[in-house]
Amino acid sequence: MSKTLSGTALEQVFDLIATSIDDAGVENERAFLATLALALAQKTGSVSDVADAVAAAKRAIEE
Amino acid sequence: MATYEGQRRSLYFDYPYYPFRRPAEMAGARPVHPVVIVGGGPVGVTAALELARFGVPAVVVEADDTVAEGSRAICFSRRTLEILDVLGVAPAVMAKALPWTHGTSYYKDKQVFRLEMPHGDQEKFYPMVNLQQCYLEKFIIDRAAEEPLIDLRWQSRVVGVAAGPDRVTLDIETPDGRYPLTADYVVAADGARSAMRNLMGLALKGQSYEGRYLIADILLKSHYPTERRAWFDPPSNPGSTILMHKQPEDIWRIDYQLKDGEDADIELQEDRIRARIADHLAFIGETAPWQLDWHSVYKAHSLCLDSYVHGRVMFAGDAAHLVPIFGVRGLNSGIADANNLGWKLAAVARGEALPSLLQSYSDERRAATLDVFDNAGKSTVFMTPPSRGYALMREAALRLSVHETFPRTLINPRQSQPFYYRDSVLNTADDPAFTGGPPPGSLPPNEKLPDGAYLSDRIGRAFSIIAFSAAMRDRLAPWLAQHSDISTLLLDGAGRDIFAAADDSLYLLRPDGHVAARWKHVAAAIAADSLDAALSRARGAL
Repeated sequence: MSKTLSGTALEQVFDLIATSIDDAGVENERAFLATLALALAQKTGSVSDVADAVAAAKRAIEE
Repeated sequence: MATYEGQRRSLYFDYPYYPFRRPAEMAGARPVHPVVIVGGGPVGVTAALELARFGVPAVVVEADDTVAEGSRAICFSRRTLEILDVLGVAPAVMAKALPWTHGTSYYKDKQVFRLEMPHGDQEKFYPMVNLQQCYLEKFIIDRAAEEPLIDLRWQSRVVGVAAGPDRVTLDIETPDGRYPLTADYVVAADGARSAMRNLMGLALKGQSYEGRYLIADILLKSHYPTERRAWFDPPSNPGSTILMHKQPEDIWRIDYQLKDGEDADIELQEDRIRARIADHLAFIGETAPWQLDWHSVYKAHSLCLDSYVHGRVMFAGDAAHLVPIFGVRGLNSGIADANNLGWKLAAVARGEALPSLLQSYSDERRAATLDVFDNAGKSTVFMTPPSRGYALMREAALRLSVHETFPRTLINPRQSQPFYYRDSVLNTADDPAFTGGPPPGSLPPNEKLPDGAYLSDRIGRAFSIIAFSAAMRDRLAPWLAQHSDISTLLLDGAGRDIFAAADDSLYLLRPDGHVAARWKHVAAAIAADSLDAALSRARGAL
């Protein structure tokens, strides 16, 4: 990836997404997260960056 | 000597008994004490020792007849050790405490974070030590008992407060009846359920967190080293978070989160607690027999008073603020309160500073509390996610941390650090010529000096000056001759690098070691004027 987040920025992102999941509500949570993933993918401008992130996420839920 | 006959028992600690003795007031005397401290816990007695080192006597009144029960606060920071060292308590603490520098966090059964606290062989103290609070309290009280300026009065409960413009009179209830106790100033260090706070109609404000933790001490012989261990969602207690710390005398502290929906009445039964602990010990491979010593329940709060100074009454420690347990800032920040208040109250009580200096105690320590709320709040949200969104995000961060480095910063427990009084009115505006070193309001690193002593050994008796060349020190001789209470330290070796100093630089340090002012290139002709102005400001004359 070309850019990374500082520790403080990562904390802000953590809070923002956590509270947004709560705002979405349980019934819209999956739709919100999938939409967020797609919007972030477009921001990266890179298929290989998205593929790397998908691989990391897959690995994280395998175990 | 009488022995303790109360309810507190432990597998490792003999509770001392502190008898009631009739004070002069009960024989009709009506002295006005310079300072009365309410609360004989670690913060109150540390405040008394701080006052004593500046020659100010204090009466300490404590409702209890022994020290607090159980391990309670167990992690003490390097800064706390430095403060206790100046007061003569650190040798007893270090002879008993277990030092540590590392921690490990696990998600389920996988390691996801390794905490490493900087520590080198040039440090006087470890970044953190573990010691049961009952030991710490006893060591502080033992030291205070040797101090002729401290009058410890046990089994003496405050039941009334009359706070006037010139003095404060407390109504003290004892086993032999009541008496009035009058002082110029009162320090309220009487803990989370402060009677002083209630009697004065003051309330803590802020937020409380939902998650609850069961905290327990067990006696277990184990060779596992002293470090902080945390398990998120462990197989031994799915959905919970567990913390484990080694303490002296083969005592292990285990804190585990009570999950939403768990029935507190069932979870607090000793059989249930034993079963939970047994499951966890089996999971981590501890097979030796063990015994439960003490347990309690903990809920995180971020609550504080609007001001720590109310007329002639100063609040300190848990009486002034309740902070979350995560990051070990509770008692450590209370000790820092006592350290900040001690020199200021002593100077005001001795008539050497204006009462306005006391307002800076509230301003500086309240800023420190709000910083704790910010840091500990983040830790608390991670340790006990307050909502589904936070729980999902924590799970994501933990799962990713097994193989990825970047999310591990979110798992960091953000251990207590000395607070930088950046915005204090006592600071003289920084000299823009400095490009490094500790700025006004901050605490310099505890540098090892060429003679083997440490910076903290040489400062902290009063205000002090650091000069970085013998020529500069000699040029200050006339000024120093007029300020015999100010000590001078010469740092002309490698030690001056950390201060980003030149031959003609000067630092002025407060009695608590924080920087009050500094000059990169001070001409000898103006040094005296600059020092006078900075000293006057740091003593509260603004």
